Amino acid sequence: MWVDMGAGVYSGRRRLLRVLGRGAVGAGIFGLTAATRDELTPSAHGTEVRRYYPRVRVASIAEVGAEPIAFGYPDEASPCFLVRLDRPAEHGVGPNEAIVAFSRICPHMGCPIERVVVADAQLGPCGCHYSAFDLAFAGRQLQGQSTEDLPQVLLETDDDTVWAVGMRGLVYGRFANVP
Amino acid sequence: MKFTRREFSGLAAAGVAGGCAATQSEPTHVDDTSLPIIPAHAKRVPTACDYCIVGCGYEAITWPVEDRGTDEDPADWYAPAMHTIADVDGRPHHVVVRPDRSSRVVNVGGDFSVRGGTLAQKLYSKDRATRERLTTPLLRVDGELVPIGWDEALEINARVGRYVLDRHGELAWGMKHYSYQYYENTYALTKLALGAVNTPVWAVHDKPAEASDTPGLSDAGVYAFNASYQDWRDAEVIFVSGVSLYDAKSILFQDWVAPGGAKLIVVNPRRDLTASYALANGGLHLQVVPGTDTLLHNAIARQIIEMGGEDAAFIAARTVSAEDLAGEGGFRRAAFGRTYEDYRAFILGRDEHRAEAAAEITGVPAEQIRAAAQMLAAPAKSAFMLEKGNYWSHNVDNTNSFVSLGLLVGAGGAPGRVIGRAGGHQRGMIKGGRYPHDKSPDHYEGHPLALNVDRWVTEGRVRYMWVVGTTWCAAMGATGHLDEVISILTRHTGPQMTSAVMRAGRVDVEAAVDALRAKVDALGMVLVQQDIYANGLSAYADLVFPAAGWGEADFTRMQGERRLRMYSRIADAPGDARPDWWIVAQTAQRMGYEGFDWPDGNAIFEEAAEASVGSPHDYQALVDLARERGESGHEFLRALGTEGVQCPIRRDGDALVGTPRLHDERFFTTSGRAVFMEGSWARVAPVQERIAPRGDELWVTNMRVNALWQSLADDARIPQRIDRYPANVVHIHPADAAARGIATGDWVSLENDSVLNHQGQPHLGRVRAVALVTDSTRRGVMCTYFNYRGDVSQSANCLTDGEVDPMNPVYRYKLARARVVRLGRSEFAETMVRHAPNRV
Repeated sequence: MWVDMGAGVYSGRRRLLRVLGRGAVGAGIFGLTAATRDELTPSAHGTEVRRYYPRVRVASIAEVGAEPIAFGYPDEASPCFLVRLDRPAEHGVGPNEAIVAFSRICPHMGCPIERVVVADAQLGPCGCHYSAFDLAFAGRQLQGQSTEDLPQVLLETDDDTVWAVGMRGLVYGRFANVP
Repeated sequence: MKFTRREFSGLAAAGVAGGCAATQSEPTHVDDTSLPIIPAHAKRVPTACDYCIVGCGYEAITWPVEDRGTDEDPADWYAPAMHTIADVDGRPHHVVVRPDRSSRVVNVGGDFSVRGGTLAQKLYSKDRATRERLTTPLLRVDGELVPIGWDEALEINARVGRYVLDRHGELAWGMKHYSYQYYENTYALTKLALGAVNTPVWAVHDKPAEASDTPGLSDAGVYAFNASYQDWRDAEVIFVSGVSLYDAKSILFQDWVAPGGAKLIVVNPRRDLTASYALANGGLHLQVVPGTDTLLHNAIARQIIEMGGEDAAFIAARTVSAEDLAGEGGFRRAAFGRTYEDYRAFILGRDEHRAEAAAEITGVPAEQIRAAAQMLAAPAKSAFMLEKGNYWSHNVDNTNSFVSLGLLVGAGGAPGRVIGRAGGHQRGMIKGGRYPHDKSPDHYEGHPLALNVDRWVTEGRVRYMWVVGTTWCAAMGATGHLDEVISILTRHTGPQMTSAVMRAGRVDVEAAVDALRAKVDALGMVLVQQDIYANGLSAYADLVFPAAGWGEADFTRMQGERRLRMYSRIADAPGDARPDWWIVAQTAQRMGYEGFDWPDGNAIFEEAAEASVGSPHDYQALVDLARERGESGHEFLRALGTEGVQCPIRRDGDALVGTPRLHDERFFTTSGRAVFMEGSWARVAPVQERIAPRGDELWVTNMRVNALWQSLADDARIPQRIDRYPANVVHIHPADAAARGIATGDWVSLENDSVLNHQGQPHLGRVRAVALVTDSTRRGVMCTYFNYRGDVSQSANCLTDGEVDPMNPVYRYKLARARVVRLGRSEFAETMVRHAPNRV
């Protein structure tokens, strides 16, 4: 699957992504291997490590309610929470697409945000500088000083389980979400 | 191949759907987040934010895109929004502009606002919407703006300007420009307009004429930016009048006001975040009816006097005696200047100053008026902060009554006891010439006033207008009228230039100048626009000059505590864009003026220092010291980093000494003592009554939005901003909305058919906006953004009268009324429905 492309290394999966980008479907035909698997891909800046998000069980669907469930993602050093909103949410899963998960760290200055207001589908205001984020709208910054939206954990469900499978947005303080 | 994050999530989801049976427990999502790591050799220069008055310190870091750092040093982390790719000396570079984490002043420890945090995205990049920057001079030919070279453009500009001056006189040659965009530019612009041309047809971006922002403070002897940020931290109580401090001066609030723990008394028709903060922290929110501040100030003053809460020692030592007052000049001071005894008699002598009487008009309950007085009364360490909600209203009386309330309790010139502006933009004006009052026909009862440029233009008296870095129309009162008249004068009066002036793809300068001469002789107006982006005004421009702005040349100015800093060049300006000073200098030389042959911006900085002497901007000492050391003023200042130095600056041997606070010993009066200024509801009431809503009309006032800066020139090119505000917004109270069948997300039209134009005649003012129904605004008061993209159809100022305060020619931007009509569901209903909760 590896093709030497001179300075860099060309990945078969990268070609697949390009095909998919044009609208084709059918990933999975390249059975991917371990969660820690890295691939090398070329970029404008040299060779990069392709990093995969871990696939992590977070909770059973039944136990997700209005009380946030704490978990770490993509690793334990990145505090996140899982919650069921009272409305459908962008990237929501489960019944009514209302289950969402996000980073708990304010993208403005890195303060942990305590307040999850389910009735408003909102995280915050942050106790440091009052940034607040829209949990029903992909973590969009609603108020305050953050130049970034709140990083959202992408979820999947099967049967009764909620899995964390990826993220949108960079976790505060990281050069890449998966180190 | 590079996917955007959104595209990638989409395709990853597709992949999962297609193959989930085979890959159920396997990773499917690639981490596409990756910050370029700053290499050790990256270039780092100090700069400061381009936007609000606070002027946070930033560090700009650049390195060629092909270079990569390897050390993921947490100290070198930056948010993704702080990065862009821009050309530096013609080669693509990574550019990171991030708050200076070593800062001990202003943005302590590297705090930042949502505005400043995206400074990097302001820089020109072909890969972003900044590709819309103006890159070459343009000339209107056959109705279209076509590119021409600098030589031709400058020659045409100079010769048409010269012709207008020679043939029609300097009262037909006008200039309008920002007051803040760096000393190098404002000094050059005013050296031409006020010095060389010596025209009275000159005004800055926020006024129709040369005038004071806060005449009450000026006349009392209080410089509006006399305070140091430490003073707001040291105060025990702060009276916060007409400023959304958190949203508009974020870091002043976050790093100085809030950490100081002062109780806030917030005066604002809107329950913004600052008001919520005040209520949650032992303060008050006085949700005032727009335009009633003068009465509110006086009612609070009366309570203070009745309880013996005045600061008698301060009043005796630092405010004028009758003898002092007799020696003070100025016609407003002569009319309204008072000793304390006379001020006291006025406050106690007027029945409307009783709390219950004032409550009826101001909408602030009497018990809140009393509570405010209790909090502010001596011996509390009280400070007074004001901004446009206060002075863009009944300007003279509001600021008179405000400053006197402060002086009453001993505020003005001691640590934590200050009176001053929060500020809007930064302080970047040093004049290279004096305004020629003797040439202005305007006056107040014989006292000279500067010429009202908008009135003069709409009377058809101006043949040449050069507009630099401002939308002009949308920022002025009676916007719609001004826009319509300018359209007629520029596009529909006199012959328009045709392609006959083009020869083999190049413009024939002689022919173009002849065409514009013919236009001005036929009563038309030539409009020259100079800016970083085209805007609504460009439709009327004959010539357009592309300007180089923040980060594209070395510039200087001071911020809200008079801190002078270097705004370093970071990346290349787009195409042929040039700094405003260069365009002015080139034109001035071609017009035959001397003293414009500056080799670089530093030469202007050093020349302007002489003009700063004796003013709060005074930095002559810095230039002197730099010269002694054989350095340029710019380089010397750059070495002072983001801390800079607080002006005025003096020398102590080889050290520069800044000035934290201005009035510890003297106020800016002849006697050095402060003057109580009388602000009278009796004078305000007839104007207020004329402007106030009637029938089913509501108040319309304008507001600030945290994420938006001025006319959105940059914001409109930053996805995070424009996604949220794709149109102007108007906040409407639920009761007002329900009565009119309006829901959040509806397009509404705000209409008033009796907006006064610049001649005092009524005309129809109409703007549209997307409704946001919220109880954060006072019932009966609509709040809308003040200058949405310079778009006249969405400009709140279409509803603002073109009438000015007769004693200080400024508009009452905050006061307007309108009927509100639902137009239908907006296309932005889904994206604009969620908004800042304004809670802490």
